[in-house]
Amino acid sequence: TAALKSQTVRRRKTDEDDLERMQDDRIDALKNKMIEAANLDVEKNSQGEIATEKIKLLKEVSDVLSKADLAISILDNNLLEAVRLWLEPLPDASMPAYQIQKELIHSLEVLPIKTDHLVASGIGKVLVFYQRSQRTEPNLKKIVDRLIGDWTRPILNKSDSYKD
Amino acid sequence: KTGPRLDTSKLSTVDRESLQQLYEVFGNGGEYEWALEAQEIEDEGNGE
Repeated sequence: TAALKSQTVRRRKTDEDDLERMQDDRIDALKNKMIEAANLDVEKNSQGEIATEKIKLLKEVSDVLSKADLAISILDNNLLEAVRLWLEPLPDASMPAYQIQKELIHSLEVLPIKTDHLVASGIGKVLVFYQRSQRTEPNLKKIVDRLIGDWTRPILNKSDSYKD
Repeated sequence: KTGPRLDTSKLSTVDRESLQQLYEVFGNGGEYEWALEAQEIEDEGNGE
């Protein structure tokens, strides 16, 4: 039974690796589609056309972002970098569609985001933009304020000299 | 002009490393300044 057991364990490990690789591939493919959509919308906006590429892909993006079992893969593969691109202002300084802002910012609340993920993605910088813009919808701004606070605390707590 | 909304009074004792990390995470406030300025100009124009 020992041999059988080790076989089972090895099998399970292989399955886990395969699953992990499949998840990574899925996130990577979505990230590429998101970057492409963001670039197309920038192009359309700069030509005075309505940006529609991101909104077409939004359901798929929201579905993936809401899956708890994909959270680690989402963060490790820096999907947040694409989320940052999606939240950025367009060339005419307008924000992306409200539905995009709402769904993406809400998704940030449930991901276990660490400082390293923030540095790699630049998502914190775009949230500072939402915090400062007068156009940010008030309820969304509350979430943005909370996220920025949540992300600031662990950085400050590393410093022994910091006293609240 | 307003910088990033960080409470600098609390940052005065924070060590250099933490401050550096805050900039890496949240930027120096200049990243999207162009958009904020453009929005303000446009919104002021609409308000009149």
